[in-house]
Amino acid sequence: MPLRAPAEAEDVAQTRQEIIDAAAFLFSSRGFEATTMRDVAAHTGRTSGAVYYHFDSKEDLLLAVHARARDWAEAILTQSERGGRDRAWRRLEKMCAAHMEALLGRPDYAVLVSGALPSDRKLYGQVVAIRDRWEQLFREAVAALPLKSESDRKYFRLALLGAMNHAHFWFRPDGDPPAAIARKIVALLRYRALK
Amino acid sequence: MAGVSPAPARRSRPRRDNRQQALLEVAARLFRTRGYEAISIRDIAQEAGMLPGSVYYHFPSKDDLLLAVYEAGIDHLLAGAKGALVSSDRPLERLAATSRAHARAVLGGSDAAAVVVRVLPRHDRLLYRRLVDLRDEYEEVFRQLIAELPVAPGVSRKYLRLSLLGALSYAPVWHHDGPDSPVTVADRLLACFVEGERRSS
Repeated sequence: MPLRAPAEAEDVAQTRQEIIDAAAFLFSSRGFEATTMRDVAAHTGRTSGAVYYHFDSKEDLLLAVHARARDWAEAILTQSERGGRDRAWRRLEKMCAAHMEALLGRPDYAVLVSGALPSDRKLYGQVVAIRDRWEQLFREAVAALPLKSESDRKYFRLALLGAMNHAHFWFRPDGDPPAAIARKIVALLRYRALK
Repeated sequence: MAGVSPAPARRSRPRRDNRQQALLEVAARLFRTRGYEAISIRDIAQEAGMLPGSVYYHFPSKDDLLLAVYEAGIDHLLAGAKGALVSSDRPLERLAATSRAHARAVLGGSDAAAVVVRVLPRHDRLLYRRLVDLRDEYEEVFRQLIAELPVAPGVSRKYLRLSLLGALSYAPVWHHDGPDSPVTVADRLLACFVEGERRSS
């Protein structure tokens, strides 16, 4: 393959992103199994051939959606600095705010966090590996918190993720914004709720 | 084929004959394991050993089938909550018992209940509205239970309800027949919300 001129390479990268955006949107709204490569092509206004030029299969596309969301999560969720008792809580709060905003606003992230797992065995393993990396980010943030025991830590993390990931059932654009929801959930888990 | 057939008055859920009951169970299992979008009437017919036409005879559309699965799931959850509510007269124990019933239902007790906590399609406004009404009917139990709790100053009862239900409903995503029983799962998740450090003033 001849070397591409820089401008052309940029176009290629841009097209790739658009295809991933379209796939993420369709996977998150219709589900992976119900979406075809033809649907993805139609959504971007391109031919199926153009999509196949960038991705060999729908499975590749699913992995690309997951990988991009994971890269984003690693970059954003690990930004805040470590150390200190209150700092660990502040860091978790920031992470959760970014998590809620992405969950309610970025289809690729929604697929990473809550998409149905594919039934194909090999693909399942690959997707689970990417998800594990994502979960690891939360594990690390929760590990820095001053909690009583390790077993508390596990349930703390699962309660936190469950509370946040369930918000798409009840979120309303005219209600609390995503970051405020995240802060309230973290506060609820941090402080004793009962008198 | 979006849309649901005209609404019967709530609270008068139709009696299901054996055939319909069997179809509902198959549909609930498939929706739970593979998601609502990925499943077709044809899949459900095949799994139930029927022709697609026979499925349509009982349920005019996949949306109607989902609505029926939801009704069955909510009935299961409400029945569990009803039993839990009479188990104690102490508010926190009542909430704990109801949370356990919820965890038991979604972690294997009822495919239909598991569908209720994971599936909420938005492609049709009328269907969405009716599913949300059903969910509200059940969430009302939690609203009342949490209204009885002596919460600390600054604690939002609404967020406590939504977060607890979220945490309990997320368990099927990670539990996979793990070592902790549904009762332990419910108790540990509830503890996360009611314990914690004291707020410094």
